[in-house]
Amino acid sequence: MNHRFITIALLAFFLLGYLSVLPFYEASRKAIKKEEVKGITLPPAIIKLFALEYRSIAADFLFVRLSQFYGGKVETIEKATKDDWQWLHRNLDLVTELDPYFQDPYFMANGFLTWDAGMYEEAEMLLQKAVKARTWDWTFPFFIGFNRFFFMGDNKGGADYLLMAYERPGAWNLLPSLAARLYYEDKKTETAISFLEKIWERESDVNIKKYYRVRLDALNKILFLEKAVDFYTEKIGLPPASLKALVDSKIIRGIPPDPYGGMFYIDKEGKVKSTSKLARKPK
Amino acid sequence: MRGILSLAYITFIEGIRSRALFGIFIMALLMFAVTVTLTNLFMRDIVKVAADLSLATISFSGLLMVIFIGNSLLSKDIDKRTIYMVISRPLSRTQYIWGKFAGIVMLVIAAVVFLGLISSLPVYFAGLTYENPEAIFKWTIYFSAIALIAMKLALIASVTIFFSSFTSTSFISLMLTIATYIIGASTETVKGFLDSRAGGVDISPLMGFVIKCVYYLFPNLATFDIKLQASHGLLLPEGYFIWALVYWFFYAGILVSAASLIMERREFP
Repeated sequence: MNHRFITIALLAFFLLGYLSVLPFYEASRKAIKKEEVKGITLPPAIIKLFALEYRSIAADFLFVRLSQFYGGKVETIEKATKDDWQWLHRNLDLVTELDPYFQDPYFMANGFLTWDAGMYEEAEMLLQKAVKARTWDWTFPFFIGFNRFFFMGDNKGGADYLLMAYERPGAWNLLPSLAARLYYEDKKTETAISFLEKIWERESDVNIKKYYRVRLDALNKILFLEKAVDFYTEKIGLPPASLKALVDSKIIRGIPPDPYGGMFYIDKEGKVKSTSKLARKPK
Repeated sequence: MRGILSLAYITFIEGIRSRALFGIFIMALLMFAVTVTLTNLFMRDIVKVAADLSLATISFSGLLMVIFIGNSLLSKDIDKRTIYMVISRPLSRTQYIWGKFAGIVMLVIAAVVFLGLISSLPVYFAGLTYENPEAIFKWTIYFSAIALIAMKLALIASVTIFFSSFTSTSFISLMLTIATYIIGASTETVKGFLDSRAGGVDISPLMGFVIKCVYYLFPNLATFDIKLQASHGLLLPEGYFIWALVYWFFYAGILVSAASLIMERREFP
């Protein structure tokens, strides 16, 4: 047998073998990847040590990994459990430890840890880092101000942060009047809409923009219903028992649908709420 | 002085001709090309990411160059016994060491200038793709960071020369240089842990003493790492650059003169 034949036969053997085991190999890789999708989060101190002089690039790559989480789980809200959110929070904390000036992770924290995860304090802890590091940037005290007011019911604290944001360069010139509204605890829905309009305007990511649009849509509908309730109360002298009363008395033509798929109703305190609690339903 | 300069020139030309240099440059160019694609994965801080990637590429490819090419330029002379040709000439061994060092520094400067200019392209284009009013980026700080990278590489070159002066094979000096780089890049962080007692870990007094010794003995390469400041356009403290230069001057000076002292006494088989 000549050598050339043996070499070609060997090459063919290895090539065929490689191609035939490829699917099995990939399946096993997938299995292990599923296990480590989240993986463990090393403490920031250790990562800082191992990253040597490549800390900020390590932050960039970790952030890309987090974006995949956002793409996979958050986009579909599939099964984002409490665990998932905590993992996201831990990793955002890590990224911002490696590079405390990095803007994107703070935006992610503000977008998801508040609205979807309900982890307001954790979100604020991260945003505080941004306020401290990015001393020239007004957006982060602005975000904290909004979260304090909208989620945590701390109007005074929210207003203080808005004024802090206003002192930074390039800030939105309506901040002082928003802060004033917060101090007087007035027109909560309208205030929230003005905030969100601004956040929506500044958002560059098309998906997140859509996400804020739906929220704005829902809040505008609530505002419409609130105004109808006020009108009813003024006309009849008594607050309506339900939203149906507004339709019956011909103040409104019908109850608008909740973009989140819930139903609007009036709670015991006379406030307009939705059964969806303005959170997206699993698809 | 003339002897040193002509030796430096020869070393520089020899380094430029090295094929490994082309490999390293091609890698760097590919990395810069990849930067443009990678920045698409980010939402706002695009210029920051582009600057991070560009500076890391310069630093890393420069490091490969100094460790592998710089090391071979000196150790190869000893390994392959071509050093006999040099020491039989009317040139002192001190002149030989300083000439080699100057040649490697010239090589570092040429490479960093080349990579620095090319790296600014992806950063510039990233700035055009998305306007971010809250991001600050200053070219002066970016180029200062590149200058500090060049200083760091020149310092590592002096480390290589120091180790080559007494080790018998180039492989050992290569390993020692890599170890020094890793220690030098992390020593400040370790000392930081010691000072802040991070993680509530108790550190024994002896360990603390060792860490402090290592901190002062090895070069603190974190001095030359202002990538974070460069990518966010943060101002450097006043006089930072001058003090980094002074630190570099004395540290590299100690290593190169120690190397020449060792070389003077060294006997070649």
